[in-house]
Amino acid sequence: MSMKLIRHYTAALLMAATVLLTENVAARQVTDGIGRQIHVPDNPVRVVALAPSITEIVFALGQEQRLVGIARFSDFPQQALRLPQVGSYIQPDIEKIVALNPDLCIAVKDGNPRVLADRLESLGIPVYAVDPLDLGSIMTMVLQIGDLLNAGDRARSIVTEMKSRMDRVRERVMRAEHRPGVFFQIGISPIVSVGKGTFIHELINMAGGMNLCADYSAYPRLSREQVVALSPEVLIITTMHQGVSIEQVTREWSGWPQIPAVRDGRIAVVDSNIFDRPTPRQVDALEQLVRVIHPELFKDSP
Amino acid sequence: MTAAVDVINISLAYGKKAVLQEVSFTVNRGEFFIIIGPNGSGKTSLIKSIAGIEQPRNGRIDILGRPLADYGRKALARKVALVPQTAPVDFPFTVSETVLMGRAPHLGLLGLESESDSKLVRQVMAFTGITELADRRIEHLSGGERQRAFVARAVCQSSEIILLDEPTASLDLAYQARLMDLMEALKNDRGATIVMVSHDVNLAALYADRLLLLKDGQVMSQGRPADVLTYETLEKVYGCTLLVDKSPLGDFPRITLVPGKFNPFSRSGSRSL
Amino acid sequence: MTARPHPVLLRLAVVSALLLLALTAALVMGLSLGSTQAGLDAIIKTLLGRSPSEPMLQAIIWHIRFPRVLLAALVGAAMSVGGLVFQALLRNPLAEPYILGISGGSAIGAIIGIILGFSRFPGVTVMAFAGSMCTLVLVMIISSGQRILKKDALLLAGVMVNAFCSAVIMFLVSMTQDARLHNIIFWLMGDMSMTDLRQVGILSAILIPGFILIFCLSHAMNMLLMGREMAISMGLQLKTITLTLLVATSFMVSATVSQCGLIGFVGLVIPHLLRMVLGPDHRVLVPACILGGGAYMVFCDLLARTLPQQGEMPAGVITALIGAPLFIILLKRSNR
Repeated sequence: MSMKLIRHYTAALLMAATVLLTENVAARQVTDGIGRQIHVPDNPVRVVALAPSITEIVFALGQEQRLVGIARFSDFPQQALRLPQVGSYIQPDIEKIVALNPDLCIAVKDGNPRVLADRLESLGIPVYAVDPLDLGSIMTMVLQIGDLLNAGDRARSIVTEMKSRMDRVRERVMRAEHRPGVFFQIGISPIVSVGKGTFIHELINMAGGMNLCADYSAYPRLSREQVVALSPEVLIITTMHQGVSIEQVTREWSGWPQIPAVRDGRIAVVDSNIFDRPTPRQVDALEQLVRVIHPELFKDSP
Repeated sequence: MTAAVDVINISLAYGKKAVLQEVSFTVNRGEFFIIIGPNGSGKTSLIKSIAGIEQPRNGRIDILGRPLADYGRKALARKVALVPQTAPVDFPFTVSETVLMGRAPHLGLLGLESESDSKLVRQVMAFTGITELADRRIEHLSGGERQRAFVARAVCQSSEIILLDEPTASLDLAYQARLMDLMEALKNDRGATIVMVSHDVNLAALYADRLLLLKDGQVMSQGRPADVLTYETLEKVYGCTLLVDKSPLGDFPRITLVPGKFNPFSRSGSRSL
Repeated sequence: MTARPHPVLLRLAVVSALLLLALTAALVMGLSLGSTQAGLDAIIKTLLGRSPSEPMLQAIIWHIRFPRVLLAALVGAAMSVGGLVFQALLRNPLAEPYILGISGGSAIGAIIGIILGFSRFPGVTVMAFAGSMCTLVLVMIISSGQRILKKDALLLAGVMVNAFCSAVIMFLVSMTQDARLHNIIFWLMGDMSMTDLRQVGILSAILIPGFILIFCLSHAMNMLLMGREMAISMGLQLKTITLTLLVATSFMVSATVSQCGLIGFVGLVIPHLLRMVLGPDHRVLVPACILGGGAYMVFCDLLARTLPQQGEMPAGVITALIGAPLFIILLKRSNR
């Protein structure tokens, strides 16, 4: 390596460090969502959200003015689409991120590549990682991000609302006499369902259903035969693919009237966006699930 | 004067099959030595052993008085050059580049030749009559032209001992004669020792100083053509009826094949007499 | 005695100078262009080191793009030289650097590493390297027999091992769900986006001695084309040279692939292209492949990350899209 290159390298490093120091004199040390000790600015004004779920939460907290960049496929709420995109959350474009000169990046542990966080931090950009695994940790995440962005009050009210809605669902479900067997399909071809340890599994349980794939972990692949053998009473499918209509899906399964769900016409299609993303809208998903699994509980009090 | 090649009691086998059995002979310096015999007699294996490509199980080969095993690869290559039976047809280099490669054992790692090397190459190409072909690619030449190019390459590699494995096998009559004349000129003008494997008994008779007759890996006879090429020996080795008389070209044996229809004593007796 | 420059060395110097120029141009373009736009004068100032007011541009160019274009150059050089050596060793024009099971083995190693949750570097990289070394040994064991390193046996063994590995890879892929599947697919398509100077340094420490070694054996490679018997009779230590070339080249290609994933097509096309233009002498071709292959890859990588509107294409797609038509054109022209 020539001297010129070494000079450039150190110059760039010094520049990055200087910029950081001058722009963010006020900084504090926090523990992020996965237990790392990092320094974040007291008042972050150039935030990059590295996953669509993070984007949603920042908007929900009313702090969207702090955002300078978001991950691709951040489509909720609609206003998010106007912000500059920095690559997908599996393959983020580090050049674009750095070009936005962020003072804070918020990343999701299972999803964003670890090496991205390392590279950004080596360039002097703090990365706050969150790790939502279930509804409980989603609420924690909302509080953490709220704290980061000086929107603690708003965060707490969101969490309180989530809790109370969940409580209402729990009360309703307690009146149910029976836990129907639920088969939740997230992939059309091949047939993929949800096992224990996933968000959706937790939601099904809370909604008073019994996830027939509870013995599997993560996202198991099943053959049609196996689904028939499971004999689900309720069949729920997410709209992972564009334009999957309930007619199409019903037609797919109608050749199997042995399945109780087909025989009784208890097939439902739900919006994958609220089911797959670890955001407060999971409670919307929960409420939707209860209506699908226990319609009888809504006859008297919708 | 030490012999050029001294083969002392070598044996060679491929797996269980014995290819050479206790073969011994001597090639003197400046000699035109031709090895003949039917197919499968071990001629090619013998020449490869002299070139150091095959390692005989027993016995020893001495090259210019030193055991072959004592030579380093490059040192051996400077003394012994081989023109194998099958030369690559799709060789992409030009004739002059190919001939120059023959100097490799005399040059360094990258094979960069000096002025004297280039001069030698030009000389040898003139000698073998391929100067006009200098810039043509080997893959575009005819069989005879290609053969001459590889012979020239061998001569550049070593002008002491040159081994050739059935060089006339697929050549036209004209080229056959030219090649043999070339070898003789090399012997006479440059003092080269030529060891050649041939299937053409008559050509061998016309050019060889001494012959070696092989059958089934064993030496049947060796010596001057007149001594080796007798009809008893040849009939025994080749297993067919032959007529041996004197060539009209001079004091050389001439071997004529006598096919069945001319032969009242034919063993293949399709006609009974 | 007039000291005239040796004709081969002269050609070598001229060709190297031209290709070095091309490589430099490609490197400069690679540093100046990318998914973020910047004004031309800002770029020039940053490249010449006179721009204290644009720290972010500095960071982008020197921290993000610089390691990446260096890696691209190394990858292009290693793949091209690898293809050249295997084409000479195996005397087969279809030979390319992955042919002895390297692609299969490294892919399996990488996939296992990704499934086990290792980080890209060093975890997955080391696994990929280990995998390709295993398949190499397997190929050599399978093809050894009467004639060790007999070229057809090597070729067949390599093809078989790669085919077997493909099946294993498909099995592993079918069993994986979620984000790891994405990572696997990106690795299989070739991915140079997350590299840094440390990794580039390690790779060049492996590659540069390899290049020197192969250049020293370039005349031997010329002679190898004559066939086994002639090569031995000309004084080549055939076994030693073949084994050295085989192991050194496989080592270099494995090290490269374990860092950048499976970027294909470069090793097949560049040697043929250069051979068509520059002739068959490996003493000129080896440096030409290093410099020319490097320039080509830098250029393809640049296209891969600037052409698409969103995200980037796999570099291997660009090398195929450009390389194949170029090759066909030159082939037709040389046939006339």
